[in-house]
Amino acid sequence: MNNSSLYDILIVGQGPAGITAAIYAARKRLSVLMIGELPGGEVRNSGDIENWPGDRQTDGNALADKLLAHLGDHKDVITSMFGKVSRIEKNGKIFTTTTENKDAYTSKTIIYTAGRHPRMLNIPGETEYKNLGVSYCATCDAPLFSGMDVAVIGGGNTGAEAVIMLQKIAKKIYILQDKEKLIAEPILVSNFDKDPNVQIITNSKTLKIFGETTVTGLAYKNNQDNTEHTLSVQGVFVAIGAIPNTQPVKELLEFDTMGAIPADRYGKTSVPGFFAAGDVTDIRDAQIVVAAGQGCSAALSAGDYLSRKM
Amino acid sequence: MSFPPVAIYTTKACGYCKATKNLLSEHKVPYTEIDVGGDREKTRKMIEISGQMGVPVIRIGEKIVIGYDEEVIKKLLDL
Repeated sequence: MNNSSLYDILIVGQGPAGITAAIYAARKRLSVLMIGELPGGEVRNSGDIENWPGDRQTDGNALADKLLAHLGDHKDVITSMFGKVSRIEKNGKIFTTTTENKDAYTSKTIIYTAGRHPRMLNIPGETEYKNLGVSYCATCDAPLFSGMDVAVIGGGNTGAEAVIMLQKIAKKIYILQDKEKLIAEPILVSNFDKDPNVQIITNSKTLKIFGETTVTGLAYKNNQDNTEHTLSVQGVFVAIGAIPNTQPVKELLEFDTMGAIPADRYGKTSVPGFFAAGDVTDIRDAQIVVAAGQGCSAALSAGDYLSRKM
Repeated sequence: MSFPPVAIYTTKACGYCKATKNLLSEHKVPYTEIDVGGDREKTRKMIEISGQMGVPVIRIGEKIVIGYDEEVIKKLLDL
């Protein structure tokens, strides 16, 4: 299906960056089409949030719903739809965005806020036991492991936050880090480094995950003495970082060495008329409020571009 | 408008689960929510009908949808 409307802005992603961009664009009376796979975005799975200014304590779902409600005030100029974007091309001054269903939409500009997806370990057993004990979302799945022994692979902030969530739920938690110490912020680590039910295992490289119908354990190697060990666990939470969702634009844009989209302070990228915001960019601080701020800048830049170029 | 019976297996804070509930509520589709957190029997039942542990699992009539897929859910409910 080809939609004949030529939108001023097509926004990919429906998270805080995309929603903020849409609101700013709508207030300039620009026509907006938003395409995304999860209304509210991955912020929904953030769990408790205590650093969104104005909200001393909220959670991912509550914040996402508030953002969507605000977006809903602008239904006259914003069209929001579910879709999996597969490709974005530019011909002359017009962008064509195609979804997996082969539907195509045209726009004068793009604001790309497609976020990131979890990095995989790429070890035996990981794919086989995905959703059979292997999880990439502690917020979603931690409650399924009540009273069980679990492992968290990854000692950064995401891993540490997973441990904190699991402390109230699991029986024994192992957190594995491939370096000499956990790289998470000390304030997060202080929540569990003295907890007798949490064991921190450093210098460890996970080798494989195994089980029967569901996960029963994992094997890891100590990087220093090369000894191999096994842990008997029923759940494995993978938290080793995330990869920007750039597949649809891999032939259109330039990327940095981490595969992220370099975007300047105004959201501009290597392609005129193509703006990016949020976790899909080379953002230093993957924080919700930063993503929202970038969404704002991208929308203002798109508006400026439209008034000058089109 | 009448809909087939809908049940969602969820956990409390799961974002995909909330998005699913929002979608159903928006279209006034009645549903039963089954919170599997900490309940081994309900988790076992969810695994039995879906073959896996990820949430949400949405039962629409006799069909099972795993995860938030707005397109598939709308198609099954004729929305």
